[in-house]
Amino acid sequence: MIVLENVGKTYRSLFGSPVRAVSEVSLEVRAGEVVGIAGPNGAGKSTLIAMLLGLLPQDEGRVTIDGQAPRAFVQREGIAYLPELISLPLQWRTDEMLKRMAALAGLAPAERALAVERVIEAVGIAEHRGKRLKSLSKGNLQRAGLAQSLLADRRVVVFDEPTHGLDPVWTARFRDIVAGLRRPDRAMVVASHNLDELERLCDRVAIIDRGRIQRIVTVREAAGSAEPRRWRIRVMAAADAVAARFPGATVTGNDIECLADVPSLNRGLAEAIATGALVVSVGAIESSLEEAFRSAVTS
Amino acid sequence: MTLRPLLAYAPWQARDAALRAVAPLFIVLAVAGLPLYGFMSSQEISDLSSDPRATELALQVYDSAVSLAMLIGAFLLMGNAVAFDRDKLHVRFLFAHPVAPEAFYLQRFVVAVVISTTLFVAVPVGFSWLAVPVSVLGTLKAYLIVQLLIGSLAVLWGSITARDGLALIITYLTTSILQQLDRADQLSPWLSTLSKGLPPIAAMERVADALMAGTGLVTNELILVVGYGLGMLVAALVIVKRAPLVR
Repeated sequence: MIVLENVGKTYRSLFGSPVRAVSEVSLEVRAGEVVGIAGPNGAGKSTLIAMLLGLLPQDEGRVTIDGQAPRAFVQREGIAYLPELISLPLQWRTDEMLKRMAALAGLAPAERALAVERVIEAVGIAEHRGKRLKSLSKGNLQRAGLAQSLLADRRVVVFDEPTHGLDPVWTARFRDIVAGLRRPDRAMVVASHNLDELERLCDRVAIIDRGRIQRIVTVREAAGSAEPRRWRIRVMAAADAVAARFPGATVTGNDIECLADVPSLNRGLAEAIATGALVVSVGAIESSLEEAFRSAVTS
Repeated sequence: MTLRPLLAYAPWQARDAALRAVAPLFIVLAVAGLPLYGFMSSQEISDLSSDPRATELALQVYDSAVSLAMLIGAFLLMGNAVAFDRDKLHVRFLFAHPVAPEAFYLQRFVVAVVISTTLFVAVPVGFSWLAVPVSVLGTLKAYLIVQLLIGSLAVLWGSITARDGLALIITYLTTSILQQLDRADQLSPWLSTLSKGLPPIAAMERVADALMAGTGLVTNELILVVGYGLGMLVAALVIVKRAPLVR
């Protein structure tokens, strides 16, 4: 749905030397996917997002959303977007800001008030609705920003540092909101410094540094993937008997590590359980995003 | 893109414009209203129109106050519009929605001009009622002309630079001086040519004066001012459409 092909961007100024912000970035975000963008400060994340929104043209390559130039797509159907900085006129009241954004979102008059109430409820800012944005705390301002991004039903969602300033309770709540936004026809991009957050939210994470994608890490396989994956199975006893069902499995105490696709895993576990094995837990051994990030950024 | 978002947002644009359009009214009140009230009190005059000298003084004060208010009103109304949104990153919120930036700023311009002109009706009406009869329509036409030229110049600078306020003031002052000198034949040929290519500030002032006085309007100058104003507005909107919205 979102396609970046060999995208490059150089900032030029009259007196300074050119700054290469993004180089040869290729990335596809398919409908139904949540893709993270991770990178250190100045890596090129914000430039990439500005190009995705069509606010900044690329110098090289091609950016398309649903086959169209980003600006054309945004002007046709809009994007749910939460910028890194909640840069709205601070004299606006919270509910006024939401009403303005609901109007710009193109919602029908009857839907606007309902949408505003819905998002105020969703992000828990009812007590702050009459306050000016300048009097909101950082966390509440972030929630107000999140609220405006949820006003309309969009096929493309872009969150830039979405949990910046949120307390742990609202960080967890935000994850629930993102989980609720997952939909087969919706593509989502989440840029964040918080690798744990990206690991929990995303299917894949593109690690960007010095303007280039250094690595794309698959942190969550799509449900029902036919590809064999590595699993860790913890049992109460008889680990060897369970391991025998999976060729090449290794046993460490009560833990078994094996390679299997989902049907083979279920079949093997069913046979083991039928012979009396007590399975405590089963989990995929996924790549550590942090490890991949460190290696990509320092290499 | 449909027109629905822009139509839905129009009342908010109108509210923002109304807040900015109040300034010219206060300027007239401060520059014309208070001195005239002081004059009437000190001279113990209850009706300015009954005394020819007082009438003449009142009309001079009115012209000065309205000229100043029109100019400052135009500066305030559209100054900072595009540049401010871009500088403060408001564009990231505004244009994630199905709205074309150039259409958004065109709407802002039109709404601002309509709202401020409507509110400015209070000035000639109030002055005619409280002091000396003046042409309501003439004042509004003059106000529109100034809004069109200076407002368009403000939008144009706002689409080009973040320092649009400074650029607007420098352009206004430089152009005004050059064109006055040119009219007095005191410029070298190349400076004279340059001054003729700049926004027709001097012509705008003459047209505005003529419209307020109801006499001496030069049609060519009116066409030049309107054409130049519209041209700058179109150029500004083309730049908004084509130039990056974030830097």
